[in-house]
Amino acid sequence: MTAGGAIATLGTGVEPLWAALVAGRSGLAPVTQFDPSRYAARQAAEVRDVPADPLGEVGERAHRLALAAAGEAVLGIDGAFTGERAAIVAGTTLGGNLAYTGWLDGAGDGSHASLAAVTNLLAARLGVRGPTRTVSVACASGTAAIGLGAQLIERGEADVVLAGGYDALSEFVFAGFDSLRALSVSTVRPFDARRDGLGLGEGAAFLLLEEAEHAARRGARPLALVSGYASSSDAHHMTRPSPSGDGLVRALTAALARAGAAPEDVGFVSAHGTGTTFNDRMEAAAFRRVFGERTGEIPVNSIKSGLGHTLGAAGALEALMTVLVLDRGLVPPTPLTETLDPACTLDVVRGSARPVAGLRLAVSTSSAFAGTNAALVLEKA
Amino acid sequence: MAVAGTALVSSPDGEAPGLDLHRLRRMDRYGRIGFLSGHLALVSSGVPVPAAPDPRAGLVLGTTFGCRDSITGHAALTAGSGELSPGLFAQTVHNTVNGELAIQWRLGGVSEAIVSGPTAGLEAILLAARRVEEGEADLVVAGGAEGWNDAMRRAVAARQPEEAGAMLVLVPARGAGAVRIAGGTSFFEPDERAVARRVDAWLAGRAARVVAARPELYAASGPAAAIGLVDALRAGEVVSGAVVARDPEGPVAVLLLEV
Repeated sequence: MTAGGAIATLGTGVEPLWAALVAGRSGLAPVTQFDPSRYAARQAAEVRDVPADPLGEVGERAHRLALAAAGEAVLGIDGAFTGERAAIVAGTTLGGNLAYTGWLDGAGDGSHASLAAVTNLLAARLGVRGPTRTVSVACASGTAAIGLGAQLIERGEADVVLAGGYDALSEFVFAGFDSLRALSVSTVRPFDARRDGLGLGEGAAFLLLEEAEHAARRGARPLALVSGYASSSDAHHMTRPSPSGDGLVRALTAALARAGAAPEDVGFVSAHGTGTTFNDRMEAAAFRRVFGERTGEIPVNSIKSGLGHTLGAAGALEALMTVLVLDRGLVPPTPLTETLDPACTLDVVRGSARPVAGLRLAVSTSSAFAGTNAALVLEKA
Repeated sequence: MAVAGTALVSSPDGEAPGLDLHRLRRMDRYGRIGFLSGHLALVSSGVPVPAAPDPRAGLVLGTTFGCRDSITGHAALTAGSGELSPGLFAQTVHNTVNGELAIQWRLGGVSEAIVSGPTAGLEAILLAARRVEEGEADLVVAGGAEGWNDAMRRAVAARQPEEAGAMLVLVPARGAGAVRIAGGTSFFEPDERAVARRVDAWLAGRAARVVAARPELYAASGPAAAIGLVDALRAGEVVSGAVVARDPEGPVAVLLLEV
């Protein structure tokens, strides 16, 4: 991975976002895009100023977020991201949904409502003629996109891949999570004993993945290596994760095997960390099963109390954050989390960012509706 | 790897042995078609349901529109003033079929839903085949599914969509005479003449029969054509064949099958 691009509530661009994460800021605030008075929850992590499409063709909010992040990721590559050896993999939970539901309500003509709209648009604009793919596995979409993108390089199908995820906040999503009683009505604080749910957000992140020699030829410095990826199913319930963490254990174990790594090699975990009791306890159980006695010694964080749960963007934003943790040796804290749930015996980084010396390997995990899990293994370059 | 089972359905209201009707009823048209075709493909392959989730069994599904039937319903409830349905909202993710089939068949391994458009079903089969080929899985159900409601049909009125679910069960190579996936490729190419040139170059004469996927079946089109080709290969009509799916927007996928 040689470059990235990102946008979320706390910043537009990788560096502003990283600075905000290291500072432990939270972007959760009262919702402004629609009137939330009908719902129990009232907060979300909105992007206040979503950039316009530079070509003025795309109005869909989710797609504009994606174009902003993708544009930053390929900014410095100067013509090396084009042709039959270039590929794109994008992940989204509900991309194009605002265009589609708007069309249902008689607003707009439904153009750009396709789930593959962003991938196709980017490929057409950038002259990409290699494989293009859009993946949608709910909240694990961003993680899956990066994993599938890396596999295109591993298998020799591409030399350079733009991979990431995106999604926009909408009343559609807010209403759904509120009906599930999954949204926090107080403070979003993953793994905290007083947590009461998640806060939704929106954003996008894309990573530029390159075959090593391709990167070397153009003098690009690798920030981290994508060493392993796997997905799994809980095969348990459509919205509740398996309490034992079985499904996540399968994804994490398979990703580590794919990377040729052992659980003992892992020095940092970027958790899905939504802030719901079901999710947090499932993850803690899964990490205990994979990492054993070392579980309490491995720094873990969740940035969802900072950026909100950005659905298809979440895994990509968290993977990007993990890359920067490996590159800079600093773990951003989990905003707003104070006193840990005794059922979550993890070393959750809280309060302030923590330096980590000698970090070589990290994992980033996502767990989604329909019981889909995805895990990435990232390695210091 | 070999094709151990196939199923092609064109209605969400079918029946099948071992079907959990309660599970089926809570799904939308896409979900029911995807679930039915996956279930029937697994039944036809003769594999048993394991006692616990199998980490080496999974599902890769392709769809163009996914659960927009459920999305249409949840959007109407959100726009109205009545009660919202958490059960309906849970069905608005495009990996619904993955989750439901995984629960019924205890598929604990790979789970991906590809939504690239009309090529998504063939892409799903390619991804699944590589998982089996590389030894990551012993069984992967793969294919495409599309279900339509009236609103969705209006949105693509000019293209006369048809409902379909087409699934294949892929397993490690079996003995002589088995139909196997010999390879595949995908790329983005909006220029139709360049598509023909690139497909021909990739096939390099390896396919005795080349079938173009039917566009009106969207992501189910490639897998449906692949099933037709599997039948022809099993009947000894040809020894090799390829399916080509193309989205006019640019994506192209090619699947090569042989005995």
